[in-house]
Amino acid sequence: MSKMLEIRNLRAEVDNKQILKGLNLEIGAGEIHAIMGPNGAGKSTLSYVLSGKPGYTVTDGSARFMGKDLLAMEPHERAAAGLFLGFQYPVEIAGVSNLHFLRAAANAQRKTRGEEELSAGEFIKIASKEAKALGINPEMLKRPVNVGFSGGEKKRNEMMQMAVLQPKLAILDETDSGLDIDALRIVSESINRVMRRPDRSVLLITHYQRLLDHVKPDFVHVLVKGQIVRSGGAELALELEREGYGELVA
Amino acid sequence: MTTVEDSHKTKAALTLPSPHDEEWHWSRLNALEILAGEEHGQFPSPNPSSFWSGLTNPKLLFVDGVYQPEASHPGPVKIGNVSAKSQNPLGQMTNGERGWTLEIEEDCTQPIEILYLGSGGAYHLPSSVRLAKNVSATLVETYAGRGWGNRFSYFDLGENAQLQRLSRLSCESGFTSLIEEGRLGENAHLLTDWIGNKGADSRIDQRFDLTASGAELMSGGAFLAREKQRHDIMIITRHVAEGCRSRQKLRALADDESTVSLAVRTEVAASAQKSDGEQSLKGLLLSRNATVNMKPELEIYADDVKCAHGAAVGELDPQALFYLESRGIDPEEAKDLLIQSFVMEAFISTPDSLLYSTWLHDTEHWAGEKE
Ligand SMILES: Nc1ncnc2c1ncn2[C@@H]1O[C@H](COP(=O)(O)OP(=O)(O)OP(=O)(O)O)[C@@H](O)[C@H]1O
Ligand SMILES: [Mg+2]
Repeated sequence: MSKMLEIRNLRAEVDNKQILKGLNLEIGAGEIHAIMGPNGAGKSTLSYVLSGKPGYTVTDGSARFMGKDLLAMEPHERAAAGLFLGFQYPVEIAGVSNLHFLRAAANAQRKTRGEEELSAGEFIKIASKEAKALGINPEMLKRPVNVGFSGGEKKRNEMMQMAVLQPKLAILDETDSGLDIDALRIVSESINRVMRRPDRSVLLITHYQRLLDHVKPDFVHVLVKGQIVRSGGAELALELEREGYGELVA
Repeated sequence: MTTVEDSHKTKAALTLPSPHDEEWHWSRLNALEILAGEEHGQFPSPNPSSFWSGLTNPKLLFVDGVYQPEASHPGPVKIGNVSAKSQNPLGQMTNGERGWTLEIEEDCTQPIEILYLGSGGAYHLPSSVRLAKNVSATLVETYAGRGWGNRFSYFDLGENAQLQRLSRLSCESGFTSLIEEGRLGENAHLLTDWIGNKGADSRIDQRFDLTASGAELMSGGAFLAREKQRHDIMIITRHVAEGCRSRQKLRALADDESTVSLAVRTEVAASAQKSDGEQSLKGLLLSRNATVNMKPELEIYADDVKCAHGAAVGELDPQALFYLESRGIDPEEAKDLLIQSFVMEAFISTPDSLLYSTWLHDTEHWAGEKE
């Protein structure tokens, strides 16, 4: 199977503090991986390093995305290449409407890939369809990006962006936290619908088994102190749920 | 009141206020002496058509302060002497000069556009708008070209009258000074927006006493400055009668070594119960060497009032930039998007199609030009 993502011996620091300490991970096309691990282990850091957030310095190792050197690309180029980060804390942007933002994003990606841009009419059709599938009030499309959205609404909004942008690899950082029971089901359905395909992959960062009941992972990894300390199948998450991280964090 | 002779004397000597004389000061006006000494016509004046809307509505063209009848459709606007006089040192220089007057008894449904082109040198031009009771009108004034344009605007709004006005500071270089004063009747509304998106320095002095109950004065402005440009804005609003409302929403965007200064003072007299005042000033610095000065002041002598002020200067939010970029938007476009959203906040008129679309055009123009 061809590799979607290959991370080798990745070391990275923030503010001169080493957070990722030699991390290895391979994700094949069509696979869903989950990363679990205690607070502060470096899960969000991994997602930021992969998406190119300023302030995160890679000191060693490599990350290849569909054969390309991911770390050499600018954040917007990574997105155009098909990488999507669902933020643990989606950012509020006053004065820019959700719809305007989404269309700018979709068209920017198309432009970078040399494709034709979508007209406002075409775009509204796509966005409204995805909003409906996620139970998002169409009025929210007109509101400024994430401003005044509830925690759960922000997470749904991330999923809506994913559905519109149709990425190859989605890194979803605690997309399940803050969701009510129905929203968890709706969001899970949308992850399965958009991403469960032979040419797409997902890296789910989560603390809870309940998301994994809906979006069944092929592999589960435990990230502790900047390294993957254990990997297994879906059953590993159940074991962690029962027994905690125990000796893994010691 | 100053007489015509006095004002000419003032002009001959060009006694400009210095930072020393003024209670509030940032910029020196020395540059005006040089501009005032220049001849007109040193530069070709720009093509008017690029500033007009496509509407068939009243349009008036002034070149270096002189009305151009063959290029204008004045509609209800009259050209000639203006009886209103200003006490402001810059405003005084327009006293006795030919200007324009709009006096209407019935709604003017179409927006009126006035374009002032400068080819260098200075001009001093007064205007007066008088709206009768219940009358509403919309005005777009555009300053383009070069030189020093010195404008005094007097507004006299009757009971329940409403004027919406957009001023576009679009001169390539030179200086634009706007002095705005007037009288608002009971429940009259004056909504004024300014946008400065080009290279000239500017100075705006707006001063109103709200002496009739229920009057409303809304002032919005976005000032975008680059290189060594300076914008100085001073607004003084005095609430005298009961139940008046005033808003000042100003956004300053400073790049390179530019300076934008905003001073807003709202005074609420003891008689002005139920006053509602809000000042919102924000600055965005795009370079380490740019400056935004702010001086929000509230002076309240009545007890039953609702007044608030907020002032903040910051930089583009790196979290927001990264969020946009992580969705595929390139860094320049992400920056433009955030700048535009910042500037849009200052638009205060009701989203009337011409004012809004003009404002939008001017903000995009600035962002797009920034490369
Ligand atoms: N700017 C920073 N300066 C210093 N330390 C930082 C900075 N950003 C993150 N860290 C530290 O890096 C470590 C990893 O943080 P990260 O957000 O990646 O954890 P996480 O595994 O996502 O945790 P959680 O499960 O709580 O979301 C934490 O100890 C955090 O305090
Ligand atoms: Mg995290």
